[in-house]
Amino acid sequence: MNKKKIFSPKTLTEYHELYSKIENSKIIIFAGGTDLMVGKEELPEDAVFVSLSELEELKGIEKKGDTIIIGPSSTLNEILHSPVIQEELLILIQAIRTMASEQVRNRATIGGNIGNASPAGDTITPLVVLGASLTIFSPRTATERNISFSEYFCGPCANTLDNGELITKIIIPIPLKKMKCYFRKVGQRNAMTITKASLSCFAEIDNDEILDIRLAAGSVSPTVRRLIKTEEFLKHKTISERTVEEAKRILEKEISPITDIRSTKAFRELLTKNLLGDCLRSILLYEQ
Amino acid sequence: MNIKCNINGKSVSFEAEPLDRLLDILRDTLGLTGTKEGCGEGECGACTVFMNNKLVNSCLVPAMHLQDADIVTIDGLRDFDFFTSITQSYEENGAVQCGFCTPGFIMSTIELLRKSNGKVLTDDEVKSVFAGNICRCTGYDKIIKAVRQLLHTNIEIPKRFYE
Repeated sequence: MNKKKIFSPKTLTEYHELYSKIENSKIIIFAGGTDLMVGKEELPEDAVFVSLSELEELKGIEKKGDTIIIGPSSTLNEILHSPVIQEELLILIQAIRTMASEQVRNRATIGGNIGNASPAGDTITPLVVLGASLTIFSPRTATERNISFSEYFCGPCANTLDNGELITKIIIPIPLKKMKCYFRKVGQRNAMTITKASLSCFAEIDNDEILDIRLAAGSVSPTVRRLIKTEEFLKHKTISERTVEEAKRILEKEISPITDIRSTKAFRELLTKNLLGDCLRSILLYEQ
Repeated sequence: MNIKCNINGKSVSFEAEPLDRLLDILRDTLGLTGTKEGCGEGECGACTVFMNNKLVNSCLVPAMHLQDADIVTIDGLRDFDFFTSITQSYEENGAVQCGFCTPGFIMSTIELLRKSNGKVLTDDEVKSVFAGNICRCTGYDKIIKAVRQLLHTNIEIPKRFYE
């Protein structure tokens, strides 16, 4: 059995001091471990683990001015049961309800979901339409910087973090109450399933006119990102069946799904278009 | 590393590698074989235990997170009255067939009884807690019937499961 090197810094300062000893190794950040424990034997022999369980600075959920700051070590269930999140970020609640199981949600963290950077990461599409950003700690210089999700992703399950860098905060602007939100995920079944396609949306409507709209789809592109062209088309439109059909055609060109074990490319395309139709009809045409 | 924690009400101490699974520690180091390994990937729920009063898959919990933790496994439930009520209801409703998933289902049943707190839950609420437990024999109907029966009787879950 191979022995793994593991460090559990208690503060970011301690992590900075420790870093010079491990900077030349492949560093694996270990949060809840629900993904890592499954394939732990296949990880590189010389990998060094940095466990976040004792890093208190990364825990907690708080409202600060007009933002909500989520500590990345918050578990999915802590977020689901947080009164602040229930009050202000319904779309995140809707997304987390579709994730994993009670057992896994008690361990899995939101930072882990973002850190994995999977195109199917179910906390990511809501965070993208919420306009969330991340604070990143660099252990080499002991400094923090902010990045948006568009700067953060660089491919399927790949992010732009340097070796050993940590997400320390997830910063979410509180959406206006009049914004309507939509989240829907389609998978093989309701629980314990990985997304075939999902859609998150925020929109501001006045007299059936879309004043503003933000859309992001999961599992249908190499990374989760805003569907800018579809958004542009929909802005200042009044929703009719014709607009819905036209928006679907634009959406189709904006996504690039693949065929994999969970779905075919064609099915994912159809699914995402139908989700857009469902979204527009349900939140825009009818009063919620 | 040396780990000290509380398992089924007893303080225990053992040597483990940081990434050793709680499941293996329970079964191989401590001889508590009530907890079963099904998929080993957190999908099937056969290895479900309580950790600090939260339902977890013991196959996904590394030893390094166990320092000072409070663990309750199926082996620790024998002396509680509510455990007898649960097993009786399972037996009466034919909710046990091969029995392999049962220890995990019983842990989730306790979570359901805690959640209901005297209220009768809908089938959907019951199903949402059982979503992390897989049973390939019963088709779930009998398990849900057993839980329904329990929800209609007044079962007290001891305080130690709430703290």
